[in-house]
Parts: sequence; C-alpha cells; structure tokens
Amino acid sequence: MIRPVPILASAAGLWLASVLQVTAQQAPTISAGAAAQTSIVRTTTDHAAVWRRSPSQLLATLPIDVDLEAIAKEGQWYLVRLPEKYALPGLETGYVFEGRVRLVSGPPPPNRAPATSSSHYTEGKETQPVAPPAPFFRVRGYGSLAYEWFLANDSFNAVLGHRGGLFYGGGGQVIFGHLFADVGFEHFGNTGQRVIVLDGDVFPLGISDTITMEPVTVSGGYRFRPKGKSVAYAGAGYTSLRFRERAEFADPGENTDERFNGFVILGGVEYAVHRWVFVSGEARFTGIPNAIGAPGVAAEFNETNLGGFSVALKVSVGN
Amino acid sequence: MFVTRGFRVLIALSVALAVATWSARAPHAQAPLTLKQQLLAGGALPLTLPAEHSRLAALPRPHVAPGRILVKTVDGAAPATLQSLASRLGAQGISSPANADFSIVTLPADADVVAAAAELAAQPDIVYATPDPVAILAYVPNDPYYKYQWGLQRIGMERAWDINPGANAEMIVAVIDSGMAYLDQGAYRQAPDLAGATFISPHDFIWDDDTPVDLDGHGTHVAGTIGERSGNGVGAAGMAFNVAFMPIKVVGGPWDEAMGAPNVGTASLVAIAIRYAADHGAKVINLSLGFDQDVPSVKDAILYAIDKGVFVAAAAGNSGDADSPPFYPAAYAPSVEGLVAVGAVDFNFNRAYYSNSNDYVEIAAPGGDITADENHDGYGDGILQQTIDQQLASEGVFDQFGYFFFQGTSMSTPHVSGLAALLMNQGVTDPKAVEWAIEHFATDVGEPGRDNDTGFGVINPRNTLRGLGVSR
Repeated sequence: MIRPVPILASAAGLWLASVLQVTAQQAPTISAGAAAQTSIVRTTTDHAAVWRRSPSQLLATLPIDVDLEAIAKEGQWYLVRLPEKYALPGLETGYVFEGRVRLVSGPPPPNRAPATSSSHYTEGKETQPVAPPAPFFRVRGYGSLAYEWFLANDSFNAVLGHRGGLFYGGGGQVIFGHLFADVGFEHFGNTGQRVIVLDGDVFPLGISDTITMEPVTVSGGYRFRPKGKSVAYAGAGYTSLRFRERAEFADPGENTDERFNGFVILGGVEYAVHRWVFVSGEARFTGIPNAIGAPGVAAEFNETNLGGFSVALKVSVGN
Repeated sequence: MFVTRGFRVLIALSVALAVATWSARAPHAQAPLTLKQQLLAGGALPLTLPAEHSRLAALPRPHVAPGRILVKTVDGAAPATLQSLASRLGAQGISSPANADFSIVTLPADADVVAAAAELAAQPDIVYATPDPVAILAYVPNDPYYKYQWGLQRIGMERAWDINPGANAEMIVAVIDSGMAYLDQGAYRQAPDLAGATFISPHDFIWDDDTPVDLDGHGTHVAGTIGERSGNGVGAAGMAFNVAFMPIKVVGGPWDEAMGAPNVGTASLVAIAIRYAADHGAKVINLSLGFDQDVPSVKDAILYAIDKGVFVAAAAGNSGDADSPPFYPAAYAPSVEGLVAVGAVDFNFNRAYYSNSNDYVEIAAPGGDITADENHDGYGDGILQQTIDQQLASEGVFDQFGYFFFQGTSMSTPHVSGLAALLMNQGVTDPKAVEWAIEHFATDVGEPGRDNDTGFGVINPRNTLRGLGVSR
C-alpha cells in the first residue's frame, strides 16, 4: 500500500517537503547481525522528522516502524543514520527526537554533549519536539506602530501641542542567517494651529495647520544569537522623509511639500510568539538635519532637524 | 498756518464776553452751564471763531504748558518735601491727579518752567521734574471730498479680513486724541460710520467729564482708520471694524479753547489718559500725538499700560527731517517692548516726505501724501476716513460729516493699532509679542533690514495674522 506522507507543517518544511515527499511502501529493516552490534531505534509514529543541524534542514519524514541506526544521543535527540532509501546525497545522518522512536536493539548509543544550537532544549521540559534552529533565509512582512519624540520638539509642541507623535506603517524584511535587510514606510499626521512665538511663549492664532510626515527607511543590520524565542538585533540605514505642512489661508506656494534625507540607527528585540509570527520592540534614532528653520517657527527655537528618537512595536509574519 | 497772538486775545475776550453775557441770562439759582454743556444740550454756541481761523491750522500754542511742572518724588518721600521744594520756587499749588504717579506743580504763568524744572530735578528726593509739553496732533488734513482708501488695499487688508473679519467688541481700543464723534446728544452727532460701535468708558480730560466729543475731527478720523464700521453700506472701512472704542480726549481743539475748557492738551494729560485706559480695560492704545521733549511720566505710564497687557502705537512725528529732534513718546519705542513708533509711507511705500526719519522708527504704515496722485484716481493720496465736516466745524456745526483725506503719522499709527487689535483678538495677548509679530512680518522696504525711514518695513497684516507654522 502506498501512503502519501503529509508535509511537515513548518515553514522550512514547506519547500523541503516538496523535495523530500516520500511514500512508505514497506518498513525497511536492518540485518540481525548488524543489529546485535549497533544501537537500533525504531520510529513509533508516522511523520517522524529527521533533521539536519547548522543549517537547519528537514531531511526526511519517516513512517512508523522504520529502523534506524543510532550513532549517538545528544540530549533528547538521537543522531541516526538514514536508510539509503530516505537519505539525500551526502546527508545520510540526521537527528530525530527521542519521543518519535524507541530503542529496539543493541546498547544505548553513546551520549554526546548537545551542540550549542540545541542547548536550550532543556531536559525533561519538552514533551513535544521544539522547533529547530531558524532557517537560513527568511522573508517577512510587518506592520509597525511607533512613537517618536521629535528633535524639533519645541517647534512641534508650539504648533501641534505635542512634542512627539504616533507613526504607523509597515514594511518587509529579508534575513540571511545573522544579517537582515529592511524596507519600511510610516505615516504621521496631526493638525494644530499656527502661532506667534516670543521668548518661548506661544500664542496660537486659531488657524489650522496640518503636518504630515512619511518616512521611507531602508536599513540593514545584524541579528544576534537567539536566546530562547528572542533575538536581539541592531542596524542602521537611510531614511527619506516626505514632509508636508498645509495651513488655512495659504497660497499654494506657501504650503510645504518637500523631501528630506537622513539616517537611522536602530536596535531591538524580536520575540517569536508563533512559528510564523514575531513581535519586535525597537528603538530608533533618526537624524534629518537642515530640514526646517527659517522662515518657520523652528527658527525661533533654533531647531533644524526633522528626526527624533522613537520606540516602535512591530508585528511580523513570515518564516 | 499759525494765527497771531492777537487772535488768541480776541478769542479769549470773545469767550469771556459771551460767557459773561450768557451767565447774566442764566437762572440765578443754578450753576452756569459750560459752553460745552450748552453744545451737548442742543443750544447754539454764543460765539464764533475769527473768519481766518481754521481748525486746519493749530492754534499758536506755547511750546510747554505755562506754569506747570511734572514732578515725581522718590518712594517714601514725605509730601512736605515736595511742598518745601516747590514753595522755594514760588509754586502756587501742588496737585496729584488720579491715574498718575506724579504730581503737578503749578507756578505763576510767566514763570520760567524750564529753569524751574531743572532746579527741582536737581534736588535729592526728586526722580524727575519736567515742563509739561503741549501735545501736538500729527496730521495734515485736506479737502473734504475724497473717497478712496488705497492704504488698506496696498497693505492687503482684504486678505487679512479673510483671516480675521474685524475682531469683536471685546477688543477695546483706546483712542487718546482730540475726542471722538461717538455721541448723539443735543447739537452733537455721532459719525454715521461709527453707528453700531460700542464705546467703553469715554473720558474727556480737557473738560474733566465723561463726554469726550471731538470738536476737531482728528480723533474721529483716527478712530475711523482703526475701526470704522465696514460692510454696512456706509462710507469707508476701518482696519478692525468690530472693535469697541474707548474715546479719551486729551487734546483740545480751537473750539474747546474758545469755549473755555479748563485744561489744555499736555503731556501730563497724556500720561494720565494712558493709565486711565489701561485701568479701564483697553487692550490697545493709539497715540497719534506726541511732543518734542522727553517726559518720563509718559514713559512710565506706557510701561504701566504694557505691564497690564496693553499694546501702544505712537506716531513717529511729522517733522520730516532726519535731523529733527525725537518725537515723544514714539522715541521711547526702541527701549520699550510693546510700544512701537510708527512712520508713514506714501502710495509707493516710500517714506512720506513729512515722516520723521530717526533711529527710533520701528514700523511704517500708509500715512499718505496729498501732494501726489500715484494711483491716478484724480485725488491726492491722503488717508480717507469720515470725520466732522471740516468747514462746518469751523463754524461751530458738529452734526455734519464728510470723508476727508488726511496725511501724517497720525494717520499711519491707527493702521498699526488696528492690526494690533486684530492680532490680539486672535490670541496674542502679550503686547511685546504683538510688537514682535508686527515687525517680524513687515514688508521690508527701502534699505534691507531695519532703517531709519521705515523701521522694519511696512505692516503686512495678512502675514502677521497668519503667524508661523513649523516650516514656514
């Protein structure tokens, strides 16, 4: 009987399974002589996954009752040799979780110290297989919500009544091992009043003034070694800000619609709340110098930079 | 044109004779009405001005008020101290007016008040002692039939009114001047284009009463530029046409003098009036007047008003000569934030030929030039407003009005006062900020930057009222 093997429901498995999809025609066996000298484990469930480590890769999903030579044991994982039928060229060995097999013959395989990458799989805590290390190449999309404290905070406070504001937006991110590249777009909009300012005293005039800021930021950086489900990262990049200011009673030429360029420095921590869903807390410093000043109120406060310090919450979906 | 001293004597004799005649006919049991009261009661005035006399020319007033010295003693000085000092100078009396922080020492009319003031000022307990200069109205009126207000158009008031359509009656502008045609009473009539306006706490310091009627026309013309009712289908427009007025009379015209007003317009009255206005709720004070001497009591009064949140605009003077002496109180402006000295420009925004050029000039506004017709409307380019019919007023008729082109820094100053009223109505409550805004947004003319002819430039009401955004 030929049974199709379900594709392992993991992001990595999506593309691997298409390559490795196998059928269980019959349970392969190992000769008795060989079994007497080696440790043999047998799969106790269908879809028992055999993994390669560093980089992580699904090598095979095995049906029940497949005998495997156990070369060693590392923590909760058996290092096993795949039968030729299931092995990829050059990838004959892999790791299978101890809950998916049982020792059926021979002595227990020698224990080996678990590799660092799997050291977080604590003894006795896991009853189910834990996701292996993240895949090397990943793609994500995200939404973001950020609060920025403006460097030109006196100017914005005079007109908008706030020294900072909420930005919302989204973007995309690709990850190559420890490196990442990010493209993001955000929007800020708020309406205040035009003012007269003297010696720091602000007099609103009751004339509405709407400010819109839309930065497009391209950044890249480094993702540090994961700790549990968390990964810290840091980076820097380039930002291009479209600044618009529109007021009542303005001639067309008196409104502002300009683009200013600057830089961004960022750092944050990402937490995997689900296999495909990640939440990040991020701090950023953006510098966009020489963007404002005379003849606006910014000149009264000697403020020229449209950047600021911000904290952001990102929700990413991807692998 | 100045009339001769003989005319003054004639006026005085006429007034005295008329008063004596009228008094003889008055009921013996009642206090005699003053001639002003008689006017406001609807009676005909029992006197005329000489045919040559015209209100268009100032009376030959003395340079300083005869026999008056303004004195301020140091804090804590005993009244007897001033009494003792004054008596040594032959003083006839000392008075301390309400709304004043100084005293007035009265000397014989023929006393040398300049020398006496200098002697008094040298005493240890005296802060200052000055003569009491006669206030001069800065205007050059004209033929009474012109109707075009190019000044408001040239400074862009149409667009400014889009932003602030004339303020409201909570904004009180004190017009410290020759009075105002604000009242319908007896033989006196309110200027038709002021109908519907609100008038707050009027006071007449020339007659010491609360009916500061304008027998001259200057104050009414000035008030018109500040806030003549607009959009009413009558006459002309004003800068801030919904404000309330506080008419305060500190300068008497020839009729006041002829009718025997107890006071003449002096710096001391101006100082008192400024404090009165500040104490009675004015937000803006217009001073289309001044004098050619430094009078500390006036400066103190202005500082007092500004401290109470009042913006003050003062005429820069009409001497028209860069070498002319400073005109006070405008000359205090560089050292007093919240007080601006206003010069005048013509149709082309050049300094008007009569407008003082000096380092105290801070801003300029249309003051007109009736000798030119740059806008080719067939009339000299004066500032048009409604006021008392100038010809009939000279005949003692005060119920007829017309539209007259005047020129002078008296006419440019109310443009600034009107703009200040609009700006304060929008929420700029600090007079120092009002000054900053008016100067900051001025249209620079003449030499780049501030210059002695037009200060920071010509007022730009629309830009001033728009204020600033973050970027522009």
